Amino acid sequence: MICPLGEIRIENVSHTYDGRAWALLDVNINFESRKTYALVGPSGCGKTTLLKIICGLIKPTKGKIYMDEVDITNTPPEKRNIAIVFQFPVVYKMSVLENLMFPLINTGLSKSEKIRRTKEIASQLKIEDILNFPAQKLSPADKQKVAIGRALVRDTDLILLDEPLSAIEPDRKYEIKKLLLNISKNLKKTMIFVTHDQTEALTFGEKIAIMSAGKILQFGTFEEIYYKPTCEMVGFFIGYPGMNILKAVLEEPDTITVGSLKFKLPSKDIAQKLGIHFKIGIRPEHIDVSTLPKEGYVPFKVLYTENLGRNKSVIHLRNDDLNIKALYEGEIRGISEVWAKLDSRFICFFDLNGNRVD
Amino acid sequence: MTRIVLKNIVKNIRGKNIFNDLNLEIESREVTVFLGPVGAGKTTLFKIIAGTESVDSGKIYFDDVEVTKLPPQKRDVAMVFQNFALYPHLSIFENIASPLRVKKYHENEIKKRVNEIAELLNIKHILDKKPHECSGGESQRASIARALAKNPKIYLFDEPLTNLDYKVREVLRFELKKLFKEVGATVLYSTSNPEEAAALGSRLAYIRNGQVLQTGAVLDCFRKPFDIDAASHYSLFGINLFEGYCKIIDSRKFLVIDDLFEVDVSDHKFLESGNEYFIGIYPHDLKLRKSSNEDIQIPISVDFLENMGSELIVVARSGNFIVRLLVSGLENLSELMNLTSAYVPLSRLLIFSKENRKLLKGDMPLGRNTN
Repeated sequence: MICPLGEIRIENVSHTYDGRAWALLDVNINFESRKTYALVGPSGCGKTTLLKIICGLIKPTKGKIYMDEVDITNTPPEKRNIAIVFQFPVVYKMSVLENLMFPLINTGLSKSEKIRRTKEIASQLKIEDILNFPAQKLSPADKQKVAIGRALVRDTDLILLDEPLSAIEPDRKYEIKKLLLNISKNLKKTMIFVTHDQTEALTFGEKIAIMSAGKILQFGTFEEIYYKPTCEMVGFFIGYPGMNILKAVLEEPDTITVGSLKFKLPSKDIAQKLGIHFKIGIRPEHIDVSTLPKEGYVPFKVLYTENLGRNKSVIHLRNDDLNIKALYEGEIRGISEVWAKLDSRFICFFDLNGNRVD
Repeated sequence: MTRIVLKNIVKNIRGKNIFNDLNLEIESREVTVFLGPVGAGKTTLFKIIAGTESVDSGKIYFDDVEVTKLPPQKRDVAMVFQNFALYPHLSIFENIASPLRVKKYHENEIKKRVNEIAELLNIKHILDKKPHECSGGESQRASIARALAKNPKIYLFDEPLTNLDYKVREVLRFELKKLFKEVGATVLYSTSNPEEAAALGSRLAYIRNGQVLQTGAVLDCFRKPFDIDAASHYSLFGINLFEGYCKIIDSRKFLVIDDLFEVDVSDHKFLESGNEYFIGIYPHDLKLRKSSNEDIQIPISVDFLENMGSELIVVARSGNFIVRLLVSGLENLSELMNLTSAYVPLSRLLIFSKENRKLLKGDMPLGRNTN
């Protein structure tokens, strides 16, 4: 049997710092071997707490953590064999080569083997030419490369990355992003990437966990999260601008009424689950807007236009008491009325509590 | 309702020169956005207008009345700060009420006004809380409410959204947009985010190293950036930059970019054969498909995609140059990875001087349709 390597299972984990508020509440999540994951959410959502629990810096108030099916809940961090790359790159006051070799000190490998392995990693990271340079004098991007290199030199199957791009100089983010994507694609280690930035999460995560207020709202691929959000909060959090959430009524057995708009219900099964009153979600980019009247389009008054300065605008529209925002390709200037159509293929259904129904 | 004029402003802070002979006129009742990188002098400029920072020399006028020596409380200006700057020991109610107390309003009137404004900014539920019990978004709403309570002639918003989570920024930016329409005052707003500038401002003042280098309608400035650095500050995703030189081929004049692409510039006298130029293209001006015969085709090979959800950035290479394209999230991801060309309309090429990096002939874009 082939053992899964670097697999992490979080079981019923809750954590409180002060005994009053839950920083994490009953979290269950499984990070499979050799995939790249992202944890994303606003500040205070619990993503950093979860990361600290995985690496052992915090022991959870409740619940268990398994690595490769072994309970490590009480294992101290230095015995967990997990590499971590931090937001502010940590390098030791020694040369780049010594930094990279540092994790190998107590491994019992021969010196030539240590050097061979270190140089192999250095060439992958394209830092062979600075091996003798004092690491502390490097720029943030090069320091981060050294920190990533140290994580790779170790014989570990799990790498945690805590906001690894936030402190990198803007003109070198490209390089570090490309490097991390290559590692994720080619090295087949389990990687967990923590970020507050939805773009980084969607770019790096094969699966993404969206967190809010100590809970995981959704854990899935980009397509699942973008097209099938489990709740209206996810619909709003992912995508820019966020999803429109609109009140809807089932007035006839197969017709949904949203303000003065009417849609055919996609299936009869869903009608029973929805009840009479519910909500629909539609993304601003899934609303087609025309400046001229068009078949099947409904007139809307233009309330406000937020130009984005890149041939795109967010336009805020109203029809009776129905307010929606749409993403418009181009600039709308001096126009007070447009015609819009909601693309019914992309409509999501939510109950009155905001949870997905399908 | 106030026009602001700054004349020959000189300002040094701890021996460092911030402004050297700054001259500026800000129109009444408009929203003027001061866009510029961190350290450009935006906050110091606002403090000088508010009166909390003095000037070494020069004069400040509000509607032709000199206010240079006037203390802040007599200037009728309200400022909203990046870090909220609420009184930590006072409740949110008392924070909002503070300018009304200074003006010695009656208790009943204070209650009425604070409640009205709190209603407008959706913060009625936090009026009894202290600032440390509030989230960033709530704190900034309270800080905006306090400015509104003052009802001044001039509002100064100093990077009010910078310290907030991005979804809070999205919501609050729209509320500010609505608010600016209602207040009917002169609004100055500073940011380093071009999207905020375009969404909120009618006029732009581009500021860098203590100098206002470009003013005008926001989108006009973006379309004709002062120089390469301005162009990169006018786009969230930077500007794609190529180096090329101008040469005669078969008696026509071309701008040649390595062996990647060339542009016929025979009709453009300002480009001289034998000279080198920088060519800039905004990521949003590059297209996946050809839309006209005048479009220029640029060969690319894709490195990776940055997924923003509703939109994507294709990060690619063209020869030795890094190229970014901003495309709709509705595109097929695996097809994007196999792209080999990008297209740009001739009129969207920006040509910069190799010597001083300034835009050349910004008033006369390339392309027959626009000449």
